[in-house]
Parts: sequence; structure tokens; C-alpha cells
Amino acid sequence: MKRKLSLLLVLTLLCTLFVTPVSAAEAANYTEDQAVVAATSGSNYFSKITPKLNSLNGSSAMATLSSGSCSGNERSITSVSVNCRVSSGSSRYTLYVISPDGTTLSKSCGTSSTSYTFTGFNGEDPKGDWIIIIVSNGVVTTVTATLKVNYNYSF
Amino acid sequence: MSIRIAGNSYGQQGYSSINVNSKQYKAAANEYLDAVIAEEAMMTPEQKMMYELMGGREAHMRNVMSNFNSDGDFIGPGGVVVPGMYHGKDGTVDRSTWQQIINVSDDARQKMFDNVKREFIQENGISNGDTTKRSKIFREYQLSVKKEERAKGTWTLQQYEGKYRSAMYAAVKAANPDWEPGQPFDSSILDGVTRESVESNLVQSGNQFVRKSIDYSV
Repeated sequence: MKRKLSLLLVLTLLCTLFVTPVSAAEAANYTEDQAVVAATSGSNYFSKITPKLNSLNGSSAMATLSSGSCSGNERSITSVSVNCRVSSGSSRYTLYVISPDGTTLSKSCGTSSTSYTFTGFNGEDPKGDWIIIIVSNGVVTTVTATLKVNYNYSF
Repeated sequence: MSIRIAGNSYGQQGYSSINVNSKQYKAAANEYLDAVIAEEAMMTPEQKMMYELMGGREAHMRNVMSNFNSDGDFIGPGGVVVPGMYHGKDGTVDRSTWQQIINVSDDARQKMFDNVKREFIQENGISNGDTTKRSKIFREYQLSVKKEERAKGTWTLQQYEGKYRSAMYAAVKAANPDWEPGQPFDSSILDGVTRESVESNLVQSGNQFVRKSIDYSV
């Protein structure tokens, strides 16, 4: 009798383990596409440098930087930073950044080389051309800017 | 307000060629004038001389005024910025005020869909920032609607754009599970992916769209 009870218990446990892990409805809804989405998401970044930008007496100096190829199909910027290397003797200046969507934001900048972080682009797709503009507040400002854009992506 | 630099008098009333009552000047002054005055006060004698030779503050203000249109909107050098797309100093305006879903016309959405499809085929599914025309699509859209709608509509259009691309990727992947972006594929696979079919599968969630399900007919 004890043997029969033990055998019944073992069979019940085996059924629990191997027969009913996923319902039919759940299995039907789990498509290959969802497996792809789950497997291919992540984060990436690109970094590009402008040529030397010279702004004289309030005139604008501008450079266009391409993102190059971006990962994923749906992307969301998590941070944008512009590292500005300022030449000695430069005046203070205003820095403008234009995203591929056309969103434009600015920062007031000093005369020392500094990295400026922008949060207003977060959520946008970084793919395409970015524009960097400087406008001197004084006689002359010379800056070389490095744009770095971090983003999340998914397929 | 006026200050004296190298013997010349400056001030809003001292300009000979600037209409200080224009919206263009007021916007430029609001954006730059305090910083310009502060910079003038810190100039060395040599810098002041150079500044004067280049026309001083009047020339400076004329230069920065070219970044604004007659309505006082920031447009950048050569009009590179569409009015309504400049949000000022980063962080002063919360991006949630423009990152909103609004109604975007069928025509604008179709143009974006067509561009996504053209680029997806051309680049074999790779998102190539060097060749994309997406900024042109956004600019055309922005110029076709009222200034107040431009930033929100652009955000909305961008949300659609990502979903169009994902649908095309899913369709190609469903036809050939081994396919990877960059590999050629039969573009007729995308015949079954239409703007309407993608959008009918979307539902708004906050300031984004999410898919109701992920079933595509190929």
C-alpha cells in the first residue's frame, strides 16, 4: 500500500513539473517577434567632433555632425553632452544644439573648456544630422566641440 | 542704460541703424544683451580696440539679430531653426510641455511612412544617419502647421516613425527569421505593411504609442 501511495505521489509531481507550465493561450500569443524584441534591445552612443568654430563679434559659427548608423528601430536619447574646447583669449559665448527633429536648445558658456549636458533632447531619436552653433558675446570665440549622444534602442 | 567704451557711447538709444522697438531687436536683446554688456566690461584695452574696429555693440547686435525673424522667433543662422522649435536655455522649459501626442494629419504621417519605407529598403533595414531625409520630413511638417503645434506634432510624428520601422523589421524577420539588418531582402515583403495596418495596431500610452499586439500578415 505504501509503495502504491509513493508511486502515485511521484507521478503527481512529475505531471506538475512537465505537463502544465504554459497555457495554450499564452503559447499562441508568444510570437517570434516578441522573442526578437526581448533579445535585441540595449544602449549605444555616438560621438562626433566639429571643426574649429570661430565666432566674431556676435556672428554665428555652425557645424553639422551626422549620427552615422544607429542601432535598433525605435530609439530614445538618454543624454546629450557637448564638450567644448575653448581657445585661449576667447570671449564667453552661447552654445546652440539642434537635433535631427529640429528641437533647439542653448546654454550660456564661459571661457574655460567644459562639458555641457542637455536633457531636453531625451526621448528623441538621434538618427540624422545634428547642428552645433556658437555665438560669441564679445570680440571672438574659438571652440572645438565634441557631441556625444547616448541612447537606448530596441528592435 | 549706457556704458562708455573707448570713447564711444552705447545704449539702446545710441544705435544708428537698429530699430530698438522691433520684435527682432527685443528678442535678440533679451537673449544676448546682458551677456554682451558683461563681456564689454571685462575687455582688455586691446580687445576694446578690436571690438570698435569691428563696429562695436551696434555691429554685434546687428549680427545676433540675424538669428531672429521679424516676429522675434529664434531661427538661427540662415533660418536653420523653424520658429517654434527653439525652447530656450536647456532646462528652463520642461520637455513634457512639447513631448506630447497630438493629432497629426494623414498627409504628414503618410510622408513619414513613405520615407521610412524608402530608407528601410535602400539601406536594407539599417538606420543610416548619413543618408536619411527624416529631418527634411520634419521640417516640411513643421512649416505646414501653426507655430504652436510644431514641437508637439514633431514629437508625435517621431513616435509614429519608430513604429513604422519596427513593423517593417518584424515583417522581414517573419518572412526570414535568419535575416539581419544590412542583408538584402525581397522588398515585396513590405507590400503587406501599410501605414493604416501599423497604426491600427497602436494605442496611446502617455506621450508614446505602444502596440496592441505583434501580429503581421506577410
